Amino acid sequence: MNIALLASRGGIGRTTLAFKLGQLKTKETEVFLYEFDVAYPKLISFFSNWSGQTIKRRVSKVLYDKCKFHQKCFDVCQFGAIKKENDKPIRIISICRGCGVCLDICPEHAIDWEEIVSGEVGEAQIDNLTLYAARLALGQAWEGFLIKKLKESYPIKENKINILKAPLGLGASSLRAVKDANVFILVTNPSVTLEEEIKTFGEIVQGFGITGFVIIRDKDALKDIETLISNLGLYSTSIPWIPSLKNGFPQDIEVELEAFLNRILSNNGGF
Amino acid sequence: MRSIVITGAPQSGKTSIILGLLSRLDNSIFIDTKVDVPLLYKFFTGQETRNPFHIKAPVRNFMVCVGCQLCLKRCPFGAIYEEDLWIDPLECECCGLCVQQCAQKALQMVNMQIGEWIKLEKESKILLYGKLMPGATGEGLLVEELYNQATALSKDLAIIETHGVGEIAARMLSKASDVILVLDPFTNEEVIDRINNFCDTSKKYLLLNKKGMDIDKEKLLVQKAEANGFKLLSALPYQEDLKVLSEQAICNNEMFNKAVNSLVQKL
Repeated sequence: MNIALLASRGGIGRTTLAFKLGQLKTKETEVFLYEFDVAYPKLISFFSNWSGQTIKRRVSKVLYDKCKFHQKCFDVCQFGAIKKENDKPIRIISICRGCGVCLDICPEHAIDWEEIVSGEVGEAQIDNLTLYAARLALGQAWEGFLIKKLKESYPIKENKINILKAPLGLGASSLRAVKDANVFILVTNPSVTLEEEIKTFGEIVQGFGITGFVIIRDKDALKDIETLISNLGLYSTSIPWIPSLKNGFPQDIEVELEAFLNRILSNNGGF
Repeated sequence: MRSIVITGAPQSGKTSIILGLLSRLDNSIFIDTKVDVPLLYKFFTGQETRNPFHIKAPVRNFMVCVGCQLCLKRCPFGAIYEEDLWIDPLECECCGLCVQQCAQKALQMVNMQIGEWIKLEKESKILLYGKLMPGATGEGLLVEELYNQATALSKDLAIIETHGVGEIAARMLSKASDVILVLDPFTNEEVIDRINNFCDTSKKYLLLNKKGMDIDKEKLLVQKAEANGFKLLSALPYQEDLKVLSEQAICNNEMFNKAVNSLVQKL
């Protein structure tokens, strides 16, 4: 059973919920957490023993002694990763996907490969709970490559409970990270755009043809929007917002969260 | 065009500050880079123009394709399936390498709509925002389009709100003339490093919200930001009652208004 946690906005407690959901069943079975939000992998901070292995990738590099400013590289790069500055091509290393389209188009062969550090991939463990996580190197913004490496290093386990934390946002880069999920959970809180957010999520869930849940961090807000959620074919629950974890995860909320997890696990015929 | 990027930690009050600026700055463009579920338009009324946004995506002509699988071998994203050479739209980044490499010219880049960009105009103020089709590829490019449209409108100033520390932030920060980093005492220090590494040569400022909640943490964050070249612009005091208010309600708060007025003067 692969459960994905998604969010359109940050700071709603997705990381805490991912960790807690992971912990709940560890008395009975092994559980695996996947941190795919590689730009800001906060799950790592819940484990003291995480260590990563450096992952490199290729990006393009302009050889200025050969460049004659034909400007073909600007036009061919679909990502806007080469910008023009005084008719000079400047590569933006953070967003270059390393596809290599610019290498072949340059008549002067003035673009070559350069190897850079994409980030780190590694694992950590607390008892029966294992974390697989990756962290982008500073200055890097291309998540897709590192997420792919994370999945290659630690393939998603079959017949286990896997909690997948998606990158921030509801765009393709988040969804492709968690496309192996059986269940999508949107974590959200009251906002002027709550309705739009849930509708967008509903369309995504429908596109994937899987089960979708909405967790709202406020009981009253859920009451206002419960009908919309069920009309979209989604399930919902409210898990109260926890202002501070200084005194640990509140017992009553843990009970609610476990009931919610049991509901997910039984909805899909267990795992 | 001077572009000021407002960036920082989640839930630190970026949107409230933008709304504060929205009511004060004339002859300006505001860009909402949140294209999965846009937000700022909820607080701005004006004359609306909607425009479809397309990217170029590869399409295969199976009448011409000889099945040599070169595209499959060269695809940097593993987006092409071996069995039927199907291009998975979720995995495809639309880089165009397969089209470039195909000796048979069996692949072609074709316009595909992935969303729309919307202009709201009221007197000398403009809000630009985008709406990505649910789950579509190319949000970075939609955000680039918003920026390109802003430059074409030849106003003096663009205020750009970014979320997160990923691609969108990197793209906008690479164009910024000024960066305002918004933090609060709950912010993880890592946010400062991440944002700083995307800042090019822009002027960097720090705005600390909810001052007085956790003095030790604040000190640590300010020190770290200053060491990275961020200049402390102002610190908005913490008020218990502001915590639970909506963005709009915060804008009506006297203390908040004083702080934003001082921010506008410094800009």
